Amino acid sequence: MKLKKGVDIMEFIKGIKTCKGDVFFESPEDKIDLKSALSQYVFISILSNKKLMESGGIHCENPEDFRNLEAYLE
Amino acid sequence: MASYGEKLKNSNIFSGMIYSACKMGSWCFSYASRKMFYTTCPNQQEFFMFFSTSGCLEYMFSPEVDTSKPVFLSDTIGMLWVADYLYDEDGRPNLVMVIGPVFSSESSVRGIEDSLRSLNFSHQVRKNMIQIMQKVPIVPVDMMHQYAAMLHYTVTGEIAMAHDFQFQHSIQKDLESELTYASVGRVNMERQRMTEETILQMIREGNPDCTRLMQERGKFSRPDDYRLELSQRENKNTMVIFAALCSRAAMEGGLSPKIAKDLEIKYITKTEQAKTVTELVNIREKMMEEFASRVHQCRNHLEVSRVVQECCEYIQSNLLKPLELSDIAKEVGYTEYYLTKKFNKEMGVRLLDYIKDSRVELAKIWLLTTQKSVQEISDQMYFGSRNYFTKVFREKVGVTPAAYREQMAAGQAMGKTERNEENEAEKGC
Repeated sequence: MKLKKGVDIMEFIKGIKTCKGDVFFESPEDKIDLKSALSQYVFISILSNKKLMESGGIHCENPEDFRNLEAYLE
Repeated sequence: MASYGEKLKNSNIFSGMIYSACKMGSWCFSYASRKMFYTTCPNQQEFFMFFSTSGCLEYMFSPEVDTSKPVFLSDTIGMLWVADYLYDEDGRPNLVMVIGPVFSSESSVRGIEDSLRSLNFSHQVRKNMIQIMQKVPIVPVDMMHQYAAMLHYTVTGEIAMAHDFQFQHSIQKDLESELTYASVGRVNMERQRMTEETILQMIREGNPDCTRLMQERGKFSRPDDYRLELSQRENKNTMVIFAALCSRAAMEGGLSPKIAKDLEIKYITKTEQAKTVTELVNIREKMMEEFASRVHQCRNHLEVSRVVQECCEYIQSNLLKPLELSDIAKEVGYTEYYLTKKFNKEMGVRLLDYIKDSRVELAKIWLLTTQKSVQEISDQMYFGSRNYFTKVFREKVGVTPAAYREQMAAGQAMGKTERNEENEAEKGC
C-alpha cells in the first residue's frame, strides 16, 4: 500500500515500532526493513526522491499491523 | 556576564565559526515547545529526522539531563551531536543549542557503506544515502570535546571541564576516558592515518577538488607527516610511499595502470629533486590533484565501464587470493573471453598484467613496512615461485625485491644518521 501524501513520517515510524511483525518499503529493486535503524535512515534519505517513493509501497508481514498504520496508508 | 541577547548573538557567531572550520551544522530548539527554530545543517529535513528517530531529540529534553551542562548525543550508526542549554533572564532553560552531526572517524562512513552493500540495496538507494552521509563532517572525539567546551562558554559564559560533560550512552564515556589516558602521539597518528585514507578515497573517486576539500575540512592546515625535525631523506621516503599509495588508489579508481605508474614515477622523480620541505608540500598537493583529476577524467569520459571498474575493485579486494580468471568473470557476470577483451580495450593493459602490477604495488609496501621475506611475499601473492616474483618485480620496478628493500633501508639509515648528527651539533652549540 502506498504512503499517503503529506504524512508525518516521524509519527509513521513511531507507528511501525508498535507493529508485531516486520514492515517493509518494497519496490521492484529494494526491500527496506523499516524496523531496522539503518534502514529507517535509508528510507528517510529516499523520501524526497519522488520516483523511488512512487515505485514502492508499504508491506506488513503481519496483516494485523496494517490496522496500526492505516492512518498513514492509502 | 553576557546578557541573554548577547549570548544569542554569540551563538550565531559560533554557528558561523564552526561551519567555517569544519562544515559542522548547528541547530536551535525551543526548550518549552521542542520546536526547531533554525539550523545551518544541509539536508535539514533528513538530518532532523535522523536526530528525532534515533531518540536523541527526545533525550535532550528528558528530565534526567542536567541542563546546566553540555550533553553528548549519539545514534546507532555513529553520528554524534552536542546539546547545551541557553537560560533566559529568569534563570530558566529557554533554548537548546545543538552542534552536529559529526562522525568521529572515517570508519563510521565506511561501515555504513559496507552495510548498505551487504543489505543489497539498489544503486540509486545507496547513492541517495551515501550522498547525505558524505555531508557529515568527520571530527575526532577529542576535538568534539573542545567544540563542546566552546559551545558551553558561548551559551553560559562559563568554562566547562571534561567531567562536566554528560553522555547519552555510557559507551561515549568509556571512549572519553580512553582518550584521557591515550598518548597525544597515538591520537595524532590516528588522525594522520585518517587524513591519508580520506585523501586516497578522494583519489579513488576522482574527486577533482581533492586538495581544496581537504583544506576546507580543516585537516590540511599543515601536513602532519612533514616534520621539520626529520631529515629530508625521511620526509622524501614518506613522499615516495605516499606516491605509491596514490598510484594504487588511482588504479582502484579505474585509471589505467600504465598512466598511474607513469605519474608515480614522475612525482617520485620530483620528490628526489626537491631541496626543501615546502617544495615537498607543493609536490604533494600537485600530485594529489593530478591523480584525482586523471581518475575523474577517465570516469567522465566513460573510457572505463562499470563492469571493468567492478573487475578492478574485485581484484584489489582479493589480491591475496588465487584470483582465477574464471572467478573474476563470474563475479562481474561476463564470459572470460569477453571480459579479457573488454578489459584490455578500456584499461590498455591485459587483465593478467593488471593483477601482476597490483600485486607488485602491494609487494612494494610490504617490503617497506613489514619483515616478510621475499619468499613469503611471493607465496602470499601467488606468484608461483620466488624467481618468477623477482623477475616480474624487476621488470616493473627496475630492481629486485631484495635490492628495493635494501635501498629504502639505506635511505632511512642515512636519514637517522643525519638526524643524530644534527642533534649532536645542536647539543654542541
